[in-house]
Amino acid sequence: MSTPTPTAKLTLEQISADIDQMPSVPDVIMRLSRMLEDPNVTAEELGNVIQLDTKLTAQLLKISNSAYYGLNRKIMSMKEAVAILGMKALKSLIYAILSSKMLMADLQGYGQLDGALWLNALTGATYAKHLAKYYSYPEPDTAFTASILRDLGKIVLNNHVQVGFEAIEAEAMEKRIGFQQAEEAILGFSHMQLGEHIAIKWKFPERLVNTIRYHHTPSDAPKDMSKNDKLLLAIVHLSDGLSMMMGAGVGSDGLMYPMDITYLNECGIETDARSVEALIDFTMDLESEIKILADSIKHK
Amino acid sequence: MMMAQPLAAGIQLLDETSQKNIAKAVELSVGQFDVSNKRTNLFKVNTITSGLVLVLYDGVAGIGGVAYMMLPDSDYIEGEDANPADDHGKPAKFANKAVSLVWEKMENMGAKPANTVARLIGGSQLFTFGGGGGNPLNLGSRNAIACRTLLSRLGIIVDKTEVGGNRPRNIIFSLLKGDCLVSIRGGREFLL
Ligand SMILES: [Fe+2]
Repeated sequence: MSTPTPTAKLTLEQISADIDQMPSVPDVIMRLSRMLEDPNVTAEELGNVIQLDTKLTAQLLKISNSAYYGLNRKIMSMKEAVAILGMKALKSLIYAILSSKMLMADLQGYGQLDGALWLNALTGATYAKHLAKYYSYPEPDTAFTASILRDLGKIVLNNHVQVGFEAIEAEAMEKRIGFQQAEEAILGFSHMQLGEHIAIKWKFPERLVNTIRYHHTPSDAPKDMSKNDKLLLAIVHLSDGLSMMMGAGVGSDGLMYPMDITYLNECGIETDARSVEALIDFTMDLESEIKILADSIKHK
Repeated sequence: MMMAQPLAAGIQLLDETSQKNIAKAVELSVGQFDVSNKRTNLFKVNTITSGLVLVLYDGVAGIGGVAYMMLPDSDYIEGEDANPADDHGKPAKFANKAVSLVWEKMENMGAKPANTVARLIGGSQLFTFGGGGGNPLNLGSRNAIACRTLLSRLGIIVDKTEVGGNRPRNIIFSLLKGDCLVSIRGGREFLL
């Protein structure tokens, strides 16, 4: 890895080259994410691909049999898991495992150690799933997936940001600007832009590319998105904000991000003081669900 | 042999006895409260963001209390027919409940309002785009107002506050002298 001086600007291309060197370029997961978008894929076909990755199979079976799903019977094969959990639940699980693999890494640059970013991702994802139901977004599992992947860019940035982090923070504090503007000023790009880059490279579906790219700045997203895709972005944005407000795995970039009230309101999400308090109350009650899920996905 | 845990620099700001006892500090999570009348005891709260921590200390009796709340008022959130016994294991979630819960226990131990000082820590917030005037996310100041009102009814003065901004805070509260060490994540550490 290159070790830039605090002021040296990196380019997306430089960092992008490093992505290829990442230890766990998840080939099977890339194939799976494409298959999962295909409505004609059968449970058997999916099971066959998952089986190619022993670790993934073991992990999926472990989670399928964990307290999170509370099934009465024991799931013994991948085919059974697909049949019983259903494609959508399986999809969000696969993304959860994918991001845990990457996010559990030591994120020193963002002041987040011991999987704190992972906890933040998981917390936001769980909020997003429930927010989806609350705001009548038709695919709660997709909301889970979109939210868990939102900070994809941070992991890769971390390899470089260790040096530049203090400069980013100082810039944010001194100029009283958001953290992403400071990232752009110091690095030349933000963790959202980098995340987008990776998501495209890994051929994630477009709406996930958009939620990764615009999770802090939803008003900048393409105007021609469908109503549902707009709502998905609003839910991811809100889930991100709420998990920061709740302090779930926040780093020293802390709460230096804006909440786009205008965008949320446009999508039918009310943000007056009482609505915000009701949302906070609602998220607090999800704590045990998050804990059970975190325990079931944990490595080791 | 186990290596001693490296201590954050700010811990040096506490007295030696408190430093020695730091490993035994009782950690509180959101919605919890606790009190103690043992001067060697310490409390800690990590990653306080939008929530608010109330630290109460009667220096004469050596009684301390901590409550970690998230919301100012239970009434309009829970509705009138809510079951007050069902607090989801978070009795101090609402300021209007937290203040009386923690003070009741301290009072039973012998704490007096006139000898008690209150400190408020937390309430960091996201900033907002649009939405007209005010920041609906400024839970911290709404919680702080709720606390001040309730405490003044009890005759307790809020001595110091460390509320607002946009960074998480950790605190360690020692009952020996009533010191409260505040560590702003990625920022400075000081006794409040
Ligand atoms: Fe982010």
